[in-house]
Amino acid sequence: MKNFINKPLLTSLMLGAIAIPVSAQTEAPTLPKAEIPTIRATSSADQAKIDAAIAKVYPSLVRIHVVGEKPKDGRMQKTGGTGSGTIIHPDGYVLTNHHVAGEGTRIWVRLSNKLKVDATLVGTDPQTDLCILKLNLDQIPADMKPLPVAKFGDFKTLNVGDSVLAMGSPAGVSQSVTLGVVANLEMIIPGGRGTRQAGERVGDLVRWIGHDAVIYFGNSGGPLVNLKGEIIGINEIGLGSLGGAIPADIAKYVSSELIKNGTVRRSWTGIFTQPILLSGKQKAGVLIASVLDKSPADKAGLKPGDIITEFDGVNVTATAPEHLPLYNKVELGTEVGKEITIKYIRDGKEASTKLTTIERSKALGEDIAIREWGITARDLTPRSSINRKETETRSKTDGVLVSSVSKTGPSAASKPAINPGDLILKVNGESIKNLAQLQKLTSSLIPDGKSQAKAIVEFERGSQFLATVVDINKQPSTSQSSAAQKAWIGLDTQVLTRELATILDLKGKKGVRVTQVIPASNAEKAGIKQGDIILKIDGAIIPVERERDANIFNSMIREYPADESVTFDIYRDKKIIQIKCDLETAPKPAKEFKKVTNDVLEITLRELSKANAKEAEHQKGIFVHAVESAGWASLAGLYAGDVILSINNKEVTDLAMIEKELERVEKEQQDYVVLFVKRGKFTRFLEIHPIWKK
Amino acid sequence: MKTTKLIKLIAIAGLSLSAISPALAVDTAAKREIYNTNEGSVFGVKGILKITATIQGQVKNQEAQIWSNATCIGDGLLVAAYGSISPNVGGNMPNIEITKEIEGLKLINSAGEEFDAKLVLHDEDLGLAYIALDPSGENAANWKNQIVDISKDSDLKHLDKTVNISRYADHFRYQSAVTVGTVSAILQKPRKLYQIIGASMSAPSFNEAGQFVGITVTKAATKGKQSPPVTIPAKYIRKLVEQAAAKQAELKK
Repeated sequence: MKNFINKPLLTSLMLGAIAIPVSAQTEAPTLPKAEIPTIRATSSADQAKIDAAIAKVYPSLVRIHVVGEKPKDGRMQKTGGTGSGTIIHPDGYVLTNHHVAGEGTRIWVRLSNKLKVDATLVGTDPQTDLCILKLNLDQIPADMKPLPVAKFGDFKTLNVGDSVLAMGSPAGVSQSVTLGVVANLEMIIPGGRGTRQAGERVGDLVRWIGHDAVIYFGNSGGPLVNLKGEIIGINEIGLGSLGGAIPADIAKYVSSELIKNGTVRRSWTGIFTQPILLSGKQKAGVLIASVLDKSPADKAGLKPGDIITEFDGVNVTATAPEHLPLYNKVELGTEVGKEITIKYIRDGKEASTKLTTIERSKALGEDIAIREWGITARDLTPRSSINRKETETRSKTDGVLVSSVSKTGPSAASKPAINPGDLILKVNGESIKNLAQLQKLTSSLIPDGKSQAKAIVEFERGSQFLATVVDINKQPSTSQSSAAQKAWIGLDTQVLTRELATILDLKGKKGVRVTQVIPASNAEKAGIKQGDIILKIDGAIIPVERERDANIFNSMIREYPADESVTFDIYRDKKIIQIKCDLETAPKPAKEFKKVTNDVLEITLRELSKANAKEAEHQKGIFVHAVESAGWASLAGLYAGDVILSINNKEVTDLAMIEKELERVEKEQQDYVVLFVKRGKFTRFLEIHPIWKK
Repeated sequence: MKTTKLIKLIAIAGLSLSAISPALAVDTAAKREIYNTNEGSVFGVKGILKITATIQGQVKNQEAQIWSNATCIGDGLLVAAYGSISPNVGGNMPNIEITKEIEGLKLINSAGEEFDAKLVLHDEDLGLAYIALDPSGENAANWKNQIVDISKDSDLKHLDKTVNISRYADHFRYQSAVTVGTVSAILQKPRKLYQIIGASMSAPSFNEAGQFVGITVTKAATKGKQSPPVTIPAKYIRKLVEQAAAKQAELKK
């Protein structure tokens, strides 16, 4: 295979660090093969290694497109994003970051040969920020199978100074490769903050491979590759000029668990640790900073200040923050439910104890929107409820935690209002254990889904136990006021400034110049043209001469009753002519038009406005008033301001027609909705591809 | 020594007392009477303004709380400054389309009682908004009118004094406030408008005879320039009352 490099670009950018995926070769048009890029090395020996390494991994590189949902303002709002990943198994398993696709509701990828393939989420592990997807193999032609697969390398063989290649799709562009060297094999984020994913701190387990191969947003989840052409890390973060990759040993273990079980089970003891104190006598071991009440460690008698020296037969020590992930790896990696021995030092004396680990729960529950309440909420998990109260009748995980509130929803309207962070514990006297119970109770209160019901809601806020009344399912009272009816003529004008008047041989005259005649307006019917200069209205001078007087002409028109006529003195072709024009009531402003909102496609439509010259130009179609960001229509490329001419090959005649058609689409749960739209002077086809919720 | 000091004190006290002339005291009492007569007609207005900004085809949503004043001019009908309820957001920036929606509009009296309301009519040209009590809203049965007479016109001159009444939000427990204003500028065309120093946004002004002068508004900005507050005289408010009343009647259907 012959590759070539875009030399001018290479020399103009960082030496040897930019990959240009270009190729002069053309393959079979139906099944193109990936175009393998190269990077110029300083020696021919290195060049061969780099070319070979790229050729081994690049074909398995994928660009990932994700639609996810996040709680905001009382509803689950869609978010769109791109990232990178690698095919690591011939059955179509792709490894990427949790933060790329772990919360995706729709996922698709572009293979290195640009073939688009749908993917599903197999499992995700926020604590290491890794996730596994599975490609839909039915969409991949037989002659592309078996799929190209990249293999993991041995992280232990990696050294600082080794050359590495970062592969991925920065900013969602085509798959790219950059070259750099390993700068650090135990990179942590200063201050021990780490990055949080779904409430988990990734730095608790991961010490990143720091490297200077250029990465950018969109490289996340892409492989860091050694010169043997093996995955040595998974790019995740950027720290100043350094990229940070999750080491291959962690990625290999986690991906194997996710493929096998869909999850990674880890042990939990209730111990929180920190490096040993510099002032202490003990020079080795791991200092216990905190022990949670009723946790396995508490039951085993461990206390803050104890220094763990051995955990389940493994000597452990942490004299610096960089060492803590190694201890955590031992503790969390212990088989769930195993009885282990911990050796520790207390008050200078050695001691040991036994404890049985329990499974580490999720840090956060999954958010769900409860439309009738105008909130999003989640269940508590044992770990997220650590600081919650426990009583004889209430366990720590009881209740529903409010994560966001719509300002116009019934929860926000209650007094006192329900806020994010509140924990709903009782509704109409019934104890609420979890989301499922709250949803069931809500359904029982409004069985038809349309009515409203008042409910006494008791909730916890900090240390207070508050009560309020929520009008469940009460829709916000909206004000759609009408604009006052005034006379209108269908003209846009500019002031005839002194300078304009002078140059147009109208020195000393006052008036306005017609800049636009609204199609089909009375002004057009009367024969007023663009460029006409109106000097008088019914014999009265229009008292304007500066730009600031721009509104005076329209104000004069608006002073007339809408059913009268006016006569304009108009200067046209160096002559003054008189044109009589009937006034009319100003067309209803577009914002007062009836609007149809489709909640599935997340679009709002209305009829075209006669008052707007741009819209009045269109003879037919329906105006797209708004497109919700990252909704299905937005993802397909529909813009507010577009005019829909047809839907699924049927001409759009009016608002009722498209409303009915969208209802049909929803009822039949059609896979694709094809719109033919006009944007400015151009037309285009758009394919909307929604997920239908059961 | 002591006598001298006493004389000085008496002299100072005398000077202080003479600063408040009997005429001024009467004048203040008359203005206070105007305030006492009309303060019950000024209501607080609150709600949520939902702003949808479409920037290059993408929609961004934002919600903001609004607080304003409104003056009762008819049975359950009030007038306010449109710009204080639906402010000009985003100016006239190109490539940005702004749509606004007002939700949960409420009128609040001096006791802090809330009444559901609807914005029924607006005139961006004049900067006026007409708000009606929602007859099907909560607490509507407890609504009490104190209507300001807007049937007369008040022809003010430069430096004439006005009595301006407004209502605070919950931070001052919905108490009314009064100031004495001065006509500082009069615009003659295309409409007669006053600029009154001391007038509050969306609140009414009265002349020294106690007649309603108008409502202070911010008119729609042109070409991105912010207009200063102006007081819209009663005659322009009257012109739209019929349309507003017709829209108000639709709420009862």
